[in-house]
Amino acid sequence: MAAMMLLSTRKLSRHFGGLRAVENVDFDLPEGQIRALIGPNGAGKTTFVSMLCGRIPVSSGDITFAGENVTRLPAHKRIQRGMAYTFQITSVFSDLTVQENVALAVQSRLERGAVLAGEVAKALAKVGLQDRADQIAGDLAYGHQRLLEIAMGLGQSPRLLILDEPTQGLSDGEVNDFIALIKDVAKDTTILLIEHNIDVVMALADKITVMNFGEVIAEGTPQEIHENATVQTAYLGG
Amino acid sequence: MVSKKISDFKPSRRKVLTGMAAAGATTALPGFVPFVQAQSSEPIRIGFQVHRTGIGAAYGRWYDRTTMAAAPVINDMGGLNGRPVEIISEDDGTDPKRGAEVVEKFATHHNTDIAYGTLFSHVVVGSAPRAGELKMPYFVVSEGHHVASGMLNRWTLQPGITDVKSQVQAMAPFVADNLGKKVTMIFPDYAFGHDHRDFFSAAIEAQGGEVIAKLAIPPTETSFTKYFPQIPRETEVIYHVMVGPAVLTFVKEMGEFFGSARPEIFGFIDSLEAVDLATPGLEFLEGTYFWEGMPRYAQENQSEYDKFYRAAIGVDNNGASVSDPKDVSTFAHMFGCWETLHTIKAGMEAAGYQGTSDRAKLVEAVEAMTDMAESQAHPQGAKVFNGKTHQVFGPQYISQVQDGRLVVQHKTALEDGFYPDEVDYTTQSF
Amino acid sequence: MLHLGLIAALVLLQFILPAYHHGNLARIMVLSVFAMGYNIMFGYAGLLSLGHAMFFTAGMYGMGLSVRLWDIPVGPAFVIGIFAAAALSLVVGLLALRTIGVAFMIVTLMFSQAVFLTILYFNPITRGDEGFVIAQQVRQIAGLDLSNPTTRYFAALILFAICLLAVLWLVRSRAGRVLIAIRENEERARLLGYDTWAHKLAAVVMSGTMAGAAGAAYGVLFGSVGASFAEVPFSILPLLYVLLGGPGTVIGPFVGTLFMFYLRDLSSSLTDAHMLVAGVVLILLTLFARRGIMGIVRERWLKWLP
Repeated sequence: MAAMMLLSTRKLSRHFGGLRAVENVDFDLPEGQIRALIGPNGAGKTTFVSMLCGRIPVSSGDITFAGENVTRLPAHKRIQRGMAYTFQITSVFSDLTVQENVALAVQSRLERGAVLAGEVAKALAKVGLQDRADQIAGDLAYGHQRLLEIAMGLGQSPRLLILDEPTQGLSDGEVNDFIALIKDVAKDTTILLIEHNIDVVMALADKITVMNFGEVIAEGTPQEIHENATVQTAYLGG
Repeated sequence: MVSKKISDFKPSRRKVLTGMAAAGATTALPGFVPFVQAQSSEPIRIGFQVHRTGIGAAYGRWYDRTTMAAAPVINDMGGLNGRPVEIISEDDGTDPKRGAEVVEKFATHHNTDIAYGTLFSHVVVGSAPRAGELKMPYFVVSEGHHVASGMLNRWTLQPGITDVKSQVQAMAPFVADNLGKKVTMIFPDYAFGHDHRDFFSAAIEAQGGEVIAKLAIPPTETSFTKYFPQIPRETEVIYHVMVGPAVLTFVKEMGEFFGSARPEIFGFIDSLEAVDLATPGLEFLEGTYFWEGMPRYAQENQSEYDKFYRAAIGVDNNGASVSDPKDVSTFAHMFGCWETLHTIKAGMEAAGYQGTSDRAKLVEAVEAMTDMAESQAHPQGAKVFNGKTHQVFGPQYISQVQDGRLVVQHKTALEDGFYPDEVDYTTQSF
Repeated sequence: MLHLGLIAALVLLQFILPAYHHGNLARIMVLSVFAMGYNIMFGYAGLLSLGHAMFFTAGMYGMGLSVRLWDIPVGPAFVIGIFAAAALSLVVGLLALRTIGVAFMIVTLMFSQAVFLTILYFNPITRGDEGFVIAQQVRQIAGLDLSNPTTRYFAALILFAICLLAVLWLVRSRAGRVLIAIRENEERARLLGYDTWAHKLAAVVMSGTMAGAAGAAYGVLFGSVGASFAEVPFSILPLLYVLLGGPGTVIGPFVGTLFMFYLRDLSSSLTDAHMLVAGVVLILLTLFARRGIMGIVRERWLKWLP
């Protein structure tokens, strides 16, 4: 282990009744990496990251974040320790303005009295929404709402940014901008990316983890995964 | 003819605006705007606080009819000091909060001379403080013990109907002598029921009897079968005072429980006011006894006053509306409205009442009253008013259900209802 | 500015209103404190309570019983009433916030009903449904007679102004923005790092305490305490006030209370069916004006309105 592990799980499981959505996952994410999490629909990816950030409780196993066992911590405490999660289905505050949305993300980490506006503007500028700051979030085009979602993640200046299918519904041009954005963000943030668009994965990921039927079936560099027979079967046959 | 001139008293915009302008000039001291003395032919305005909606609506409807019948009778007699009476009605929704607002509205908006007519105790308790503050004579027709208990104030009087303490106490000799000495009480578990429990327990003990079981029924109860087994076997008399829509179920289930072998049963008619005794399910009540404030069914020895009173309101010999025999009145209580209005008339005449500045004189004049003879003004019977406690005392009737009619068995003496004074309102300043 | 203007206008109205409307306005101010409390939970935190009467009554009886049983002067008794409401809202919050949505509504309704039945049960102490009177001569604070209309008006106005400014401060604070975030999307707020449960609990306590202050003030200013204030319709009333005036606006509860009061006052002169009128208004509101009067004003003209 060269780099420090920012996030680890051991034997992490989640059962819904008889369904084993996630089963005994051991997972390690070193600080500074961009990790992609891929797998067919229903493989357990979203369940897995939902357990990481505390949206849903674990059935068994442990989660360690920045050297601390966070398995029993409620979501907001994990977020306060430096996780951020952007939703697969856009989940902005649609009745509030763009600026208010990001402000809510920013103020959760700021000390009382610190200046919000600068931080908000910075996050908006990164995703290119600075000109739409006063619009009502619900009125934005879908792609812009996705960008706002990411800006809210950035506004938290997290140590770990979990992006759940961030490029879904974006145009090709927007996807390219997104890739550039994440490369920039990754300079000082560890990123865990659930992504279906394989081009995005190949362009960004340092390492890829593949899940199927709730288990990790492969892990390696993009090149290794590309050549892995099990992965091919999972996608084509499974 | 008297009209409810409600529409005349809507706060029109102009009225508000002129009011504002006038008030601006005087930097308006609040409270009621002093009533400008009217000419002597102006009507005397009586604010009638009526339970038109809410739980008291059935009573309110008949309080209204009685009031609207009494007013023209009084006007035909020459009105109040030669001035006609005008009734200004406001619905209080049988709600203490709205009740207090209505009293304010009478005082400061309708500028009535007095307020009158409230029945339900909680509305009286909610409204009386405001009447006292506004120095508005407030004549309630409630049968609650709140007036005589000293809880209220000098401006609140109950000269037209006896209070529950007096009623209950007066029942005890008859119950002990004729029905039995071992009594089980069934009553609703709230203030009205508790008054019955406490007052009757004391009164029956004074007669050498005792209450051997007290079944308090929660107000939310809709079925009573689980309570009847708690009635002790040695019970000689059941005393019940259930109120509200559950009463039919109560009677039916009691009948099913006892079958033909029942103890004597005595109840307060409050539960069956405005209910036709011929209603299916009430057959079980045949042969049982009831307290009545005034006999619902015209009796053989009916007085001419009773006859006149029924005719004026439009009530037949069965206590129902002459236009609809199914529309049964709240006969045991509503005489209080009639009698109170006549007492107001007598009080205003004794006080030489001219206008709102004579309000205190009116209260003093009523306080000075004592005997009230049985008459057209007091068809329920002769009464004595206690000026210190602001409470009237009168006869009570005990009737038996015979062939679906209530037949009077006993009329209590005034003394049966007397108890020591608990307050002397006349020592309070106005 | 608008809010200070409203307070100034209310001061001015004291001098020019005819007696009837003057008295009504004092009442409306106290009731709108109840509604403002309700609005903190419903309008800002998005928690629909059907049991707010219990907090109003806790304040009312906390105050009233202190006077009745221990002859405590109304000033301290008023404070006791507020503490009683705060304590009750803390307990109810801790228990009811384990549920959400419809279950939360039902749990608050049940708690409120339990409070009502408790008042009836302890009839010898509370005088049950009949209630009791706070005698005119004890209703004084620092020698001021609170039954005097002018004093009463200003007492109501002071309470109203304090609560109005408190709500204004709250919604402009960080915590207030978080409440709005919770209303809009609780899951998202949680995943931005906010302890939404603690914020909701705080909202319940603030809301209940303010409702209790209104209840205690009502008893002190209008002289009666009664169980009818604990009944279900009195829990629906603040919801109506807030829906009509505009949920999530600072000034809306006052506007709603004012409208509803006069709607009731006028309609009950014209028809017996004043509850029907209230019902129709509610239906029209939910169909055509979900944001209430001030909500529409904000949407159309005053976007900055808090």
